[in-house]
This record gives sequence, C-alpha cells and structure tokens, in this order.
Amino acid sequence: MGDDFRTCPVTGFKVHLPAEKLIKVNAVTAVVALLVGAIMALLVVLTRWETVHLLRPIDFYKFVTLHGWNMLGFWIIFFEVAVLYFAGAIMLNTRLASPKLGWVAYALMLIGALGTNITVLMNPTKNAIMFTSYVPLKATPGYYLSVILFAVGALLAVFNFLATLYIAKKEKTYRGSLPLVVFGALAAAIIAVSTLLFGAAALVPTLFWSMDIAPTWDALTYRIVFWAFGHPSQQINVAAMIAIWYLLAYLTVGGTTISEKFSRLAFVFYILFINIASAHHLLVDPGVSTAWKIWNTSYAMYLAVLASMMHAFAVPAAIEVAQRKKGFNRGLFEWLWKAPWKNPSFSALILSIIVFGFLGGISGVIQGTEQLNIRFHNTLAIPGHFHGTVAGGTTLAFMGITYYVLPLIFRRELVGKSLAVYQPWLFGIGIALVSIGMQGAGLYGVPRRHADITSFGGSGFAFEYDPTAYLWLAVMGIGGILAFAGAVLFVLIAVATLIKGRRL
Amino acid sequence: MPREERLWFSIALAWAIVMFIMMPLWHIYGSQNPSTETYKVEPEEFVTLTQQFIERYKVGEENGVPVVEPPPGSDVYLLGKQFSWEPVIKLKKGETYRLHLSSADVLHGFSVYPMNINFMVIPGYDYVLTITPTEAGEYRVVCNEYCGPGHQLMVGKIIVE
Amino acid sequence: MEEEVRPKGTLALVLIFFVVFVLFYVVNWIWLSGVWVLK
Repeated sequence: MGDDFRTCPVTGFKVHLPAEKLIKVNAVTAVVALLVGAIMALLVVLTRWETVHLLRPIDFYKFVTLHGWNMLGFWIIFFEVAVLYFAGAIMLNTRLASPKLGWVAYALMLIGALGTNITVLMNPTKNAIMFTSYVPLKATPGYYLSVILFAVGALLAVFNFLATLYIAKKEKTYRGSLPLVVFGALAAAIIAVSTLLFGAAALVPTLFWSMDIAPTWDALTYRIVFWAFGHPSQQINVAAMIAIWYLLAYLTVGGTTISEKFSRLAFVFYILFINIASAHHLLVDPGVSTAWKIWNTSYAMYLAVLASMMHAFAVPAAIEVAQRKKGFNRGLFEWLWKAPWKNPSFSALILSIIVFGFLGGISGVIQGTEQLNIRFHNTLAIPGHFHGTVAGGTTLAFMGITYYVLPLIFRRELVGKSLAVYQPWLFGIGIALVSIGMQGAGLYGVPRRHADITSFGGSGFAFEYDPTAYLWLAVMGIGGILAFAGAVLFVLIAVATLIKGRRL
Repeated sequence: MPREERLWFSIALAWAIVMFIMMPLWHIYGSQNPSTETYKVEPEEFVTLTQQFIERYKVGEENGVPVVEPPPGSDVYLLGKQFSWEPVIKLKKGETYRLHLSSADVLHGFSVYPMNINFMVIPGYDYVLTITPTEAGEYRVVCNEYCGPGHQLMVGKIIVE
Repeated sequence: MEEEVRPKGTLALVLIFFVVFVLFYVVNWIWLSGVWVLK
C-alpha cells in the first residue's frame, strides 16, 4: 500500500486519498447547492400558494428557473459525481484514474453552476426562461455557455469513473464481478454519456444562435432533441438512487439482493430503454405520429417501468430477508416494525422508496400515457410527479447515504444525532405533501410555471379556479415549508458535524 | 429467482402489457385522443389566416379582443401570441369544429379550464384538433407554457352555447 | 432460499402498491372520458 491510500477501519476498503478529497469537495458543493435551491424553493412555493403569493412575476420566473437548476442540476449532479468516485475507486479498492481530471471536471462544473446562477439573476428578462430554455425564447450566450461548461465537466467526471473501472479490472483490485452497487453506478454513468451528448446537441447550436452565428432551430426539433437529453438525465438519477438503495439496505441492516441476476437485469433495462421513453414529453405535440408516441412511451417506457418494479421488490426483499435471518420472523411485518428506525439512514431509505414509488412512479406512468397526458400536460401535476421522484426519492436517498459519508469519508462523528432521527421524516413528509398538493391542484387545471393565477396580471379575462384547487395549493404550501425546514436541518447537521464533530 | 419475485415479475409484466394495449384500444373505441393533423405554416401566414377568419365571423368584442361565432363543421383559428389569445370563440354544444392552433412567436400552451384539455402551441406548426364540446359553459384558455415575462397575462375564452 | 425466510411481507407491500396503481390508472381513464370529444 502506497502513501496515497488509507484502510477504512470500519469497512476495510482501501481508500485512495486523492479520490477521497474529490468526493468531499463534490459532496460539500452539492449540499451548498441544495441549500441555495431550498431557499429558492421556499420563495417559489410561497408564491404558488395563492394565499401568500409572495413574489412578483419576474422574480418568480427567475427563482423557478434557478430552483430547477440548483436542485435538478447542481445538487443532484455534484452529489452523483461524489457517488461515482466512491463506487468506482473506494468500493473497488483502487485509485481514481486521474485526480487531475477530477479537479478539471470539478472546476468546469463549479464555473458552470456559478455562471448559470449569475446570468439568470442579473438578467431575468432574457435568461429566466426555465430549465428547458425552449427555442425561440432566446437567452444571452453567457447562460448557454455556463450550462454547457457544467455539462462538459460532468461528462469528464463520468469518463474519469469509467476509466477507474477499467483500471480496477486490469489491476484486479477486486474479485468476481462488479458489486451490485457499482453495477448500478455504471448504469447511471452509461446513461449519462448519451444524455450529455444529446444535451450538447441541444445547447451548442442554441448557443451559436444566441450569438447570431447560427440560424434559428425549428421549435419542435429543439424540443425533441432537448428531451432526448432531458428525460434520460432523470434516469441517471433513478439508477443512482437505486444503487444507493442497495447500499443503504446493506449498511443499515446487512441486506443484499435475493437475486443478483434479477437486480442486474433491471439496471440493464434502464440503459436499453430509457432514451426512447423521452417521447412522453411530446405526447400532445403536433408533428409527431401516434405510432411514434405509443411505441416510445410504452414499449420503451413500460420496460423501464418494469425495471423499476423489479427493484421495488428486490430492495425491500433484501431488507426483509436480512431482518428475518436476524430473528424478526413473526407474521408479515415484524421485520419492518423491528427495523432500526432510529437510524436516520434507514428511515430515509424507506421514505425514499415509498415517496418515489407511490407519489412519483405511479403518477409518472399515468401522466406519460398518450391519451391521459391530455389532462396533465403543463399543469401543476407534472411538477407534482417529479417532486415525488427526484425531490422525494433521490434526495431522500442521498440524505440517507450522507449520514454514512460523514463518519466514513469525512471521519467526523455526527453532531445532532437526536435531531437527525427526525430529519428524514420532516423533509419526507413535507415533500410528500408538496407532491400531493401539486397533483391535486393540477387535477383542477392549475398551470405549472405560472406567476399569477389570482389576477392573471390584471387581464380582463381573469377568473377564479374551483375553490378545491386553492385548498390543494395550501397543502403544497405547508408541505413546502416543512420540506424547507427538513432540508435546512439536514444542511445544519452536516455543517455542524464537519465543524464540531469529534474526529474518528 | 425466488417464487415471490417470480410472481411479482409476472404481475408487473402482465400489467405493462395491459397498459400498452390500452392506448391503441382507446384510439379505436375511445373519444379523446391527441390529434396528428399538422401542417407546416409560417407564423406570419397563420396570423393572416386568423385575421381572415376573424373578419368572416366576427360578432363582437370583449376586452378589446374580437369575438367570433364560426358555423359548425368549419375551420376555427386560435392564435397564441405574447401575451394573448385571439379571438374569443363561440361554439355550439354537440357540434364538431376543426380547431387550428399555432403561435405568432414562441411556444405557448393551450389549456382549457375547467375541462383540463392541454395541447402544445408551436410556431411553424398548424395543429388541427377536431373537437366537439360536450357541455355548455364559459371556458377559459390559459397559457401553460412559459412564454416570456408577461406569461401570466395570457388568458382567452371559449364560450359554448 | 431457506424455507423459513421468505419475503412475504415485501410481496404484500408490492401488491398493495399494485392495487393503488391500478385504481389510479383506471380512474384517470374515467376522468378523461368526461372531457370534450377530441380526434
């Protein structure tokens, strides 16, 4: 063992010190992005809750755009880069292929993230055009460039991970096949490569158009290319989240999948089928045929859905079998009641599964059905769906694994343990109410990305929605306050641990 | 594969097949399906077509927006632009119309309240929906695709008698 | 897999999930059938 490694006293992994440094820096940056995104979330949710109606339109559009970027982009992806380096280097007892490349990637991602925030904050009229930045809306070149730099940095980090896997295989630093968690991370990485290439295809020509070098795109073509990037980018998050589910099942109760083949096949389905499924964003668009819509949104999406349902069984089964073997074998659910609920990582894991499955997954499949989409497209039900999947499922899983990252990677004892027990519940219940409230309001036609459904800016055609819609918006508002508190509590615990936690 | 897992896999696979079949089935037996009738059109062209349509069938004005009453079976034009819908349209319950949707500028979202009918409005594309309003009432057309800083101003009206 | 340790609880949970899924799916088709006729 060279100077560059330490052996973890808890897991026995050979920890590459330069890799560990990069994991820390990406994880900390992710949590900073989470905090910024959470503050913006509070501002936005207190505007959509019509009783409060906090922000004026231009500020609302500014913060919706940036809340989207800071959460969906920066919190999730910086954290995923940390997960990739952990899975590739630490879990395989090997060195990270190129720490230098890791730092270049980080720098690009950081510059891109800062640039995106600055360009939107400084010029919202031009640049607050939502995460989707649909042509012919035209932002300043600085905006597109920032996003592209972030994406390039992320792509470099992914290549760094893939190269690390290659080195680990060549230098035989692990025995047998890739551990399932690493296999899941690999699925995420493979999807990430095609995703980011489509992202370049969407944004690079648009950058040149914003500089008046290239002609404008066809608006429908842009949408098709954008969503070829946009939904697979979510599947990266799903694959990463599920890899973390397996890891948490192991760390909290010693659970492992009862069928390796089954779980691995499910990850392969994700890789093969998710790209085609992006059609579900275009179900009520002109210019694309019914056959294309049905084939893509179902043949492909339902196979990806099938994969999710496979994991939905395999992860709880791993927990159940481990618990039953420990002696909690009575009845149908003793294994669950007697599980380590005082461990915030365990409660985060269970909440992640439930919120992702019931609120995110079911709504997603239904909204993505060709004809049913007519009642959902661009209503608040759509954000209701994805707050279930990514703000609920993925974020809770990432919070759960952080409670292990703090002692194992940062080597600090958790500060605020008694509060940490409640943190996943506070955030999880909050975000569940946000998802439910949004979906309820969406059923009454409340639009997404809309600053003023009370007076419509003073339009002569302003009207009032069904009173029930406002009730659902209140549910969303209250949930948003709880989720904000839960996110802030998470950040405070993490920061306090890094500053004051006893060194381990 | 343990038998519980195999059972669940069979149920999930069967359900996926059911959901797949449901979509073509509804195209044959159901009454609400997204249209595929689309024509390429320059935004200026569509603006002109809408103006001609308004001139032919104008019966009044509301809030400065022309109100039209096209005959059943006819081609009805609705223009989305930053930040309004033109014209206000009067339709008859139970009659069928060919509704042409397009934009003068950027993407807009055609969302009929309270029916919760939602379609994309894309510049360069004339999207024809063959619609039959089934209930009388005053409906609002809310734009639900972000279209610029005045997005929240964009509300129109469809009256069904 | 040993006979005494079977994931029965998980099977129960996913079946509950399945029932919720089917119900929500069906009710959405019912709601759709109530909007204007669209071709």
